[in-house]
Amino acid sequence: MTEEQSRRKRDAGQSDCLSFTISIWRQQGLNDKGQMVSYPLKRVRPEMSFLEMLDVLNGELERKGEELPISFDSDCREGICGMCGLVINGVAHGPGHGTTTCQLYMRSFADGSTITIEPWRAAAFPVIKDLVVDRSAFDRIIQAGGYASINSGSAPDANSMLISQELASEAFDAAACIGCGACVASCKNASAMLFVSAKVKHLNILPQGQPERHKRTVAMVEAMQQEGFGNCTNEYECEAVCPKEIAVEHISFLNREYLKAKVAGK
Amino acid sequence: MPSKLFSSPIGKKMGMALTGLILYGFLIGHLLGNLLLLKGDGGQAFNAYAEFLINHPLLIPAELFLVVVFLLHVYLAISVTRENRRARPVGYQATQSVGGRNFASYTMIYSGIIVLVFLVLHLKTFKYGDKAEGTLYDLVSATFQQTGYLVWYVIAMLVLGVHLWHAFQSAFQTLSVRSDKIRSLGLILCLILALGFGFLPVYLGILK
Amino acid sequence: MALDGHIPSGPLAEKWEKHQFELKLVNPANKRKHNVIVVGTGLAGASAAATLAELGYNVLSFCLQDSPRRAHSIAAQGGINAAKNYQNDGDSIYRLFYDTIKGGDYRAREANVYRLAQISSHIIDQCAAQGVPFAREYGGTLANRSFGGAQVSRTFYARGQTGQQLLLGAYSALMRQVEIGKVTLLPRREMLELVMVDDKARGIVVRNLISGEMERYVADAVIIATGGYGNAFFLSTNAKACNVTATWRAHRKGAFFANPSFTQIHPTCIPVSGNYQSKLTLMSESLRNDGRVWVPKVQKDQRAPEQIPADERDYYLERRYPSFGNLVPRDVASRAAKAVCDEGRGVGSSGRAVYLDFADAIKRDGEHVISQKYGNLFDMYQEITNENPYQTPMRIYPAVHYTMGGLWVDYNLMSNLPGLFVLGEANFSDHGANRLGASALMQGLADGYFVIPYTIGGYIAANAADDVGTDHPAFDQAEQAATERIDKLLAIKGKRTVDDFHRELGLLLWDHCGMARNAEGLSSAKQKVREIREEFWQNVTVAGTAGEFNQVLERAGRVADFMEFAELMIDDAYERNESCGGHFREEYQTEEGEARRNDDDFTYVSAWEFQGVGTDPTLHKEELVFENVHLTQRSYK
Repeated sequence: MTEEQSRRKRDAGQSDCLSFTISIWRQQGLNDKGQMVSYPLKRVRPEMSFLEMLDVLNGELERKGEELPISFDSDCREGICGMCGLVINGVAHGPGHGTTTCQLYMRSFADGSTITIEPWRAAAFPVIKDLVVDRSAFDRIIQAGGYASINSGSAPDANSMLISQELASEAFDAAACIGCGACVASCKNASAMLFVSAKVKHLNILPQGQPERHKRTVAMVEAMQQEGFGNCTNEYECEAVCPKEIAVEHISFLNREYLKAKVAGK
Repeated sequence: MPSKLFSSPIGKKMGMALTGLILYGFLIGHLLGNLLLLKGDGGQAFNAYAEFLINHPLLIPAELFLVVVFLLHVYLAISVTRENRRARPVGYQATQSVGGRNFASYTMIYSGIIVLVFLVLHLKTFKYGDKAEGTLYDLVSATFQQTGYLVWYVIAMLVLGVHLWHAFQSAFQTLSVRSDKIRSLGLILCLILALGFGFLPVYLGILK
Repeated sequence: MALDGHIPSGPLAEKWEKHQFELKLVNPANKRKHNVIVVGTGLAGASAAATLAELGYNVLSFCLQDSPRRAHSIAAQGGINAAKNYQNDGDSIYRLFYDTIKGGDYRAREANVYRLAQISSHIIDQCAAQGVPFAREYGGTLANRSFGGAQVSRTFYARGQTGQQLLLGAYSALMRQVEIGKVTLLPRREMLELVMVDDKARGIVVRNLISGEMERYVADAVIIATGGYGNAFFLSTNAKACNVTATWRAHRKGAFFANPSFTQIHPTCIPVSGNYQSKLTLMSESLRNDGRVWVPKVQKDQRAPEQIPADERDYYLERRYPSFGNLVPRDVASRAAKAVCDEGRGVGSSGRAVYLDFADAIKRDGEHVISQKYGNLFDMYQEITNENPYQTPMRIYPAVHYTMGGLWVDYNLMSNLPGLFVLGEANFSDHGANRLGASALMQGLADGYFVIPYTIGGYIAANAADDVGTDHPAFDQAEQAATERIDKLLAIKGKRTVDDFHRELGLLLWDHCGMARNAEGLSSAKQKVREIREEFWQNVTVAGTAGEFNQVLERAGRVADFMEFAELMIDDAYERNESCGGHFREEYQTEEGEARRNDDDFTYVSAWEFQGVGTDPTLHKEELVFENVHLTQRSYK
């Protein structure tokens, strides 16, 4: 069916409904062991978003009242807040490329298939309930040095500091990180190197970030280590699932920055 | 330089890369030397080369250096792997690779252990083997007449190849070089090394 | 009761500086003895918390999400206005002030808006210094674009993710203070009650969303920066967790709610595609710079858009507004789309959509140029709809986007409750009846970085706070009230889900208190809201218990508050017998269908006082005095 035909059909309200078996990780709380539970789900429309599909499933569970609906995080539902994040059929954020879980649509899944949904898995991201994890480790990494120390009101005129288009653009590419944690979830070692490298690079290449450059690098890497993330072994799974397509070149950058900082005696 | 460098994730990563590349260099040199086995002169050139190395004053320091590098590489591998296991105590029910993960990258610790076992046996057999009844060449030739040893040796070399496949581009990525050329070069080199080291015993044990 | 906005006397341009001087100061050494609660970590909340901590106050920062960085400010796409006049195109503080007052259809305070324009420049300086990667010119200076029909280029931007970058800047400043120990971060907490002690705001009761436990926090002052209430409509461009609870709880404690019917409907959103839909996605307004909006001339035209010849298309914006064309302000564009759909000329399966067509722009500039300008937006559209906008026109429809109304505040951003300050979208202060594009980010950051640090000091210096602990009876009462409400929700065990009720309420508001309102519809909607609310409290099902992580319970509490709030929104829309900005009363329009404002009778802020659920609220009027601008009828013909 061509795109045009399918559009006509959808416009006429006749899109076909899909059926799935949804296999989901259920875990009551931090100390519960947890297990996979399967739910059959019918009448899923292809233009539903993945999270809307879960809303529909939850609605069914709420009406039945036999078990609690599934807990999962989401907020903006337009791919920018970084709140949502599910491992779908073994892939963080599912089959889309450069998208978050909320930007995934059910047309990406084959009718009748089983969809496996699991939470981010990492010691540093403990499961709070079902598919909800605690990502405050990321906040603590930022807290360690992810800023330029400048008090409100003390800034010079913005145009007193010239920054080339290329540099601003490069910094933006790094700053685009939404802190969702998919990099950690997809890495077999639960490493947070992509996240940390993007955050370090954003500030370390800009003139505003220079005064604290080395201190920042070391502090953030140490914070990362303390949180219990694993080590990077260069498998590039992180960049493949990153919704903002942040590249592993950032990790090489971080490696160099760290070495420079150490040479500088920080 | 502050000491935390070597206990940090990045220090360890760089340590892995550097020690790995040094060992890689050693393997290339070793293979070049071993190619003398193919000369068909009854081992004259090979033996002369072995003699030259044994009598070289820098041999002991070089060997010590390699031992240190190797032990460091092994230590880092074990330390990093343990940390990585701790970082994900509960695994996934479904797994799928969408990035660069492949058989080689996923099994580095296992291929590494096999190479380690191989190395110990290899040193015992050849470097510290009984050479009272002949030259090194004789020992090598005799050893590869044993089919069991030959098969194990060839398999170990293939495992080494798999290890080196991920190792090469990974080390360069760590050291900031990532390109398709490096990837291709890594593949070619690991094929040459694995096939080269694997072919020699086949040549000596079966073909010759 | 006449409301006093505490606007400083003197010439407009000197009011703020004069006021800053007149405000009492807190001795630097004493600041560390004062605690401030900040609820919300969007642009306003995060910037306020960081700045107050920099000054030395002890700050408690609360948010619903798992991290302060997730607040919905992060989703703002377009940019942030500032009167820098870097482009030398005639911008000035006065022009930004004037555009904002006029854009707000003369329903905002002159003094507040002028201060906002004055501060705007400092915001850009501050954000640039934090490392926000703003777009740059080749020479390295900051780039600007013209936005939302402004005739000068004063909008600063960071690709299409300006809100994200500004929020990350504020968040980074906040996290720096967490590291220093001046800010205590309390994420995954929801404010359920405001605590008043001796008629002063002194604390809050929150629910810890992970454990379900109630927690009490005391401070010298409370700042609410919890955003807008657009989710009253269920479908909006707001994030799922956006809610009215914090402001509504404060309202129930006596804080006046101002202009609740002033909601902004954004014209370029992706239309609703089914009844399962959970939210609407905004497409940046910048698309209207090159896209042409049209519908077929005849009703129920089933042909594909490409098969409709040019002379059978109605480019209705260009037809009705020849000088502004497709670039008319948001409220005008939205209403025009509604009008053509009401005539039965809407497109798509629901008939509630219009085309936004890039065919002419692609023909003129080439696909490459269009892709460079809007590539990410086109990709986003295609991702959601599975249609290629390079080949077929986009379908768009207006959606609720921003709420100009909010808790009433004076010039100091303090509500009528002493010690309760309200910042950002949560207050009503600067945008009147309609907000200009790229001004929300400006206001949030102005409030947080540059206004509250001064005005809260004035309050704290002048009001010695008694030593009150969280064991004060006022905290007991507040916690009990919050607990009882939760227990009541859990005890109903009815048949309908929370979302089901929320959808019904939202649709009702959308139909009768949305883009166009009339007295009859509002009266019937008010009655209907009461019925829905009654049924909600008898027939909602809320699974689980109070003492656990329970997302259904969270939503139920928010929807319960929307149920009460909706009635106030309707009352406000009913009371205002004029059309202005986002508030369009069908009875008050010109023969050509344009809004007709009534400056003689309605040049005031409606500030409503809570009198109990189901009891009509009391209206307090703050007369708006315009000393500097001449009130004109907006015209975009």
